[in-house]
Amino acid sequence: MKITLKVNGNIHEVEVEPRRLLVHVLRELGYTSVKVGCDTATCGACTVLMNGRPVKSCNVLAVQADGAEIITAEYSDELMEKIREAFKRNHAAQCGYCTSGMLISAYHLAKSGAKSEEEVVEGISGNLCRCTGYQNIINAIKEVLV
Amino acid sequence: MRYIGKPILRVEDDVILRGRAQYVDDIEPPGVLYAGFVRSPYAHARVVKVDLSDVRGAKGVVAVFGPELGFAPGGKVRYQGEAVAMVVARDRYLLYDALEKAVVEYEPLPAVLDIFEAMKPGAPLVDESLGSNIASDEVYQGGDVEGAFREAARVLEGRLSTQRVIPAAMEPRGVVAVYDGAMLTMWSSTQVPFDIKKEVAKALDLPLSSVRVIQPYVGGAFGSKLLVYPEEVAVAKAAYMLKRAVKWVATRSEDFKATTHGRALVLDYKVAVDNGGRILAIEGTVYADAGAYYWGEGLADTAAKMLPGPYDIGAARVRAVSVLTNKTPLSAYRGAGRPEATFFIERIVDAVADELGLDRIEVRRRNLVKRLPYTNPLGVTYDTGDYPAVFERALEKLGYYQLKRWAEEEWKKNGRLIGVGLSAYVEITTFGYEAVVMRAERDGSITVYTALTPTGQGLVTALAQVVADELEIPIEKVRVYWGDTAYVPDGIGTMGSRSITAGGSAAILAARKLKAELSKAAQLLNCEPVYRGGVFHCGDRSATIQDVVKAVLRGDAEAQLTVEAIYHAESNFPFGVHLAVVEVGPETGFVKPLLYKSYDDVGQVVNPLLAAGQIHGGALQGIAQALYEEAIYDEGGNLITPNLAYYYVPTAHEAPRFEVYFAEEPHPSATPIGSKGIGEAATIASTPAVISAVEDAIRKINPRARIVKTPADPEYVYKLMWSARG
Amino acid sequence: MYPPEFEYVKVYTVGEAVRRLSAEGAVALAGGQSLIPLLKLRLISPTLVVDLGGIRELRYVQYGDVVKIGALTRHYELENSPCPLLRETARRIGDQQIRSLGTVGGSLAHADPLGDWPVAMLAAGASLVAEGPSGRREVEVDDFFRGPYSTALERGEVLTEVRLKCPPRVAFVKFSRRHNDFALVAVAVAAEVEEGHVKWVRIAASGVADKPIRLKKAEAAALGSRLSKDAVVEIAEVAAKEVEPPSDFRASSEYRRALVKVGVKRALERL
Repeated sequence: MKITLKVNGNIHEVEVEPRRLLVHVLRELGYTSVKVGCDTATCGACTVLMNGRPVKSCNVLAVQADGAEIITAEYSDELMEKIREAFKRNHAAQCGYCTSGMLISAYHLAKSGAKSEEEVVEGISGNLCRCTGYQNIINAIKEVLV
Repeated sequence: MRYIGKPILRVEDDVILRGRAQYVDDIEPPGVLYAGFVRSPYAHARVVKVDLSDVRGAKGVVAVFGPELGFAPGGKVRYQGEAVAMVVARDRYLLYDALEKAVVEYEPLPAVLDIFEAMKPGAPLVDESLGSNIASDEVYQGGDVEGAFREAARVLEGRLSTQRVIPAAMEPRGVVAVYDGAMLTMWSSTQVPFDIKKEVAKALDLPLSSVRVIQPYVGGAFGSKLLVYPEEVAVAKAAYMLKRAVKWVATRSEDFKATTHGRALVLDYKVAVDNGGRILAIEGTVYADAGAYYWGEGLADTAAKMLPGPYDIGAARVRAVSVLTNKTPLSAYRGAGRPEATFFIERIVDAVADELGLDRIEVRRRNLVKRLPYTNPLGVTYDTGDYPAVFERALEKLGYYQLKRWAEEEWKKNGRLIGVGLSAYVEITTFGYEAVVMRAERDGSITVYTALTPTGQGLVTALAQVVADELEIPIEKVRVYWGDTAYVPDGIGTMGSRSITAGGSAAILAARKLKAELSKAAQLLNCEPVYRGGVFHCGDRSATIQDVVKAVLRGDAEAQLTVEAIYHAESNFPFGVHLAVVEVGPETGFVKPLLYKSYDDVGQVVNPLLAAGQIHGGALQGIAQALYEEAIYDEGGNLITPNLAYYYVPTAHEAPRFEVYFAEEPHPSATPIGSKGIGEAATIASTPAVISAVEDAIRKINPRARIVKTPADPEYVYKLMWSARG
Repeated sequence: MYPPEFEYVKVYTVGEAVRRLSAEGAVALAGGQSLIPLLKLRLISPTLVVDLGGIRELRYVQYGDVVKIGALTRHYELENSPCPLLRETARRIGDQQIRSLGTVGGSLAHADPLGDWPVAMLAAGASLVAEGPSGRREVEVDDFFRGPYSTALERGEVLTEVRLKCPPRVAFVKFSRRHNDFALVAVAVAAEVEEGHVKWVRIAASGVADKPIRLKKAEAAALGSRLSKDAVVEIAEVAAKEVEPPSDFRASSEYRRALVKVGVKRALERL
């Protein structure tokens, strides 16, 4: 099946089997920031924005994303750069494997007008991190929401 | 010092935050093929027949390899998930289609899943050649144990146990191997590229100089990636035989069974105490549920040798037994024997306090080692520290008494079950050698090659700090390269909280060597130069590093521009006190961690921002061991917590707030850098602190409640709380 | 991690969906948050996946005396619903990523015994509208859940709408090991209180049987009650005695009973 994906503003036309997962198609297109961390849609390392909503790209068939606008952690705009700086300042990344998903969740939190720490915790609760204990990530995101 | 001790931001972050850090699955050599494994569904079975004929003909399959490659030694599988065959295909979806076509005939054998059953005569044998299921059995002792028990006013005994946990690094394991006919290059999500290099060279009968192993960015390891795994050797063999690039990356479910597990130690103990709560002697046996292969050597032994903790116990006899069972092999997991030892001794000290009606803090005061260096009864010598002073300072800094009072008030006013728990620990870090190669560049910048293998710690930044300070140059001029066996002659890697101490000390020695070498060339200036701020001074004449390098390259002077230093590190011993505050639901036994505070004496703190990050992450893993995680096998040897949906790695919802403090007057190690390891400290201290806090909370309902195992899951806590009332 | 091969078709009308789903081995794909994990772990191997994502007409929420929810409404679309039952339940489902794609209809049709929508809709006394080869029918939620992953939907039937009267009082209590996990035990209570007495009440629980169930004895005890502190405790006792929960590695029968008791008590207190 031929599908069209707009990723970080770039249009891609790809031929995919219906069973191919969006995460694999994105990675094959070169967006390797999108990571595979589990097989039960639990860890969120594969999180991308799809039509403005955070989704686990391992839990989407690429064909379901036909025509969608997708943002991955390779994306850059003023907000994303602010988030990157806040992550760096707060030592919010250690091994970095969950970081792509965290950046996307952070971006969505900022875009959707989240204000409180509770909202941040809820917003990243679908992104597992084994290294940081979450506190620095939460602090980084809170800085950006201000 | 300009950089050491400062919260320098990480140089690693830029590439990670732009999504461009390369992990093993991001490495895609041209024409790469994908490997997958046929794995046993049985915990214990003879492999009667492996029929790969349908696999061979399946779409996309390039090669199949059966047990002749070394799978299922002895013709049997010993744990659910053990590989029996490998398939290589040109596409991963087709690969997994093909794997389903393997027809394997197994003859299931009775499985042994409980260590005590495994030790009984007549139990099914995991490894027939051993004659029993005991892979290792050692006794460690010192002091007059019998005398102490004779003198004792009281003898306490009991059993304490820790569950099997799954390290579950965010990145599952994987490896890429490429053979071009002459040179084998591998990338692996590993902590030990040098070990892989040696084993693969041996397996393929290649000279070491023809094997290069690279550690790319690794998404966490925590000790689960410090072995050379069968898959790594198998994939290397496939690449070698096919003269192609071959890649294998575990699925998470696969990783859960194929990557080593942690903890799973049990202690049966007896302690002799006097009326003042002084522990006179400890006797006991530490059992390790080692799983199907004894890959994780010495975990029970480490727990045995560190069992006395920071307490001055005159005599001890501890037996360490590692028992084989039909489960995934056990190996190191952040702390590797010390978290278990600390959990054991902290529970024992609390029990001593309870039995004698003494305050838990007071009993610790009475037993803490007073003067260092100190050799514990099992022969381990703790290097530097002042446990009593640091302990008191910690109580103050962490606000232990205020928190206890607050918890009391909340109980009286609002009926809340809030518990405050404390643990004190000493831990053994660092060992072995580390090598650094350092080169001065033509423009005066410095290239550093390390054999350390960071997996998230920020070591590249920390090492650059160390080198920049030693050479007195801006940190931007120092670039550290890591993880490639081509860079450095040999190394052990990042584990055992050794990196900044062993690697940093090696870097300091290398920097000193480099200065000494370059100062030879600065004799161009016709005097003995004085080195200051990156410049060689001779009176009013001077030469920069850059000047010296250029002179050497021109032939105007002689000096080694590249130096190598190998540092042999002795173990060092951090000490600390951690505190946890939890709230327990009286009606449900659910535990919510509220606050976690730490106070650690880890010698010279190279980067407090990174050090605090290690505490946060390590503490949450220990909290998770205390409350959430458990790898559970059913009676058939099936792992019934087989993926992240059933295995409770905490989310942001479950994490408490952390407050990290480092000793104002730290006690350095006797190394050039003066640091002590921190990577595992919080995992060591947190589990007992949380357990103690839970117990503190539920004792408001059941004053005799005692927690003797981890995890303290809600049902366990609930039953303990209400058991006295029937 | 790698789904098996299947035929795939995207449909744009309910009629098309019904036709396609009448084939043997065909399954419906709504949000995919329950179906795709089954495909990835190769626990199922359908011959045909029918993607309902093109049926725009099934995405709506109409508020009125009866709230009507199109089956393809995503969970997140109800996070700020003016109806408390919908709002509270939606917010407790998984995480924000799951809620972005998962659908109300998909969740109900999947009928995970520990799912959040099933127990909540059971408490609400909702009815479910399905369209199939024999036409349209409305099934009361009490008749909808048959067992684990099993509903009254016949081959070829598609859930199109969920209807409920938004209960004036509602409480949803969920016990789970981690905040975002499926429930160990969950209790959903919907009620109307008139002049201080319970006029009607529905109490539903999950985690105590192989599907969500109503606690009818507890409901009977609660009817007409003023829900005083003591009364609530008594009703909770009745609920605890009423259930016969299973024991498994996640919890024992008696612990589940204890959670039901606490859950019913807290839910009634929150009403």
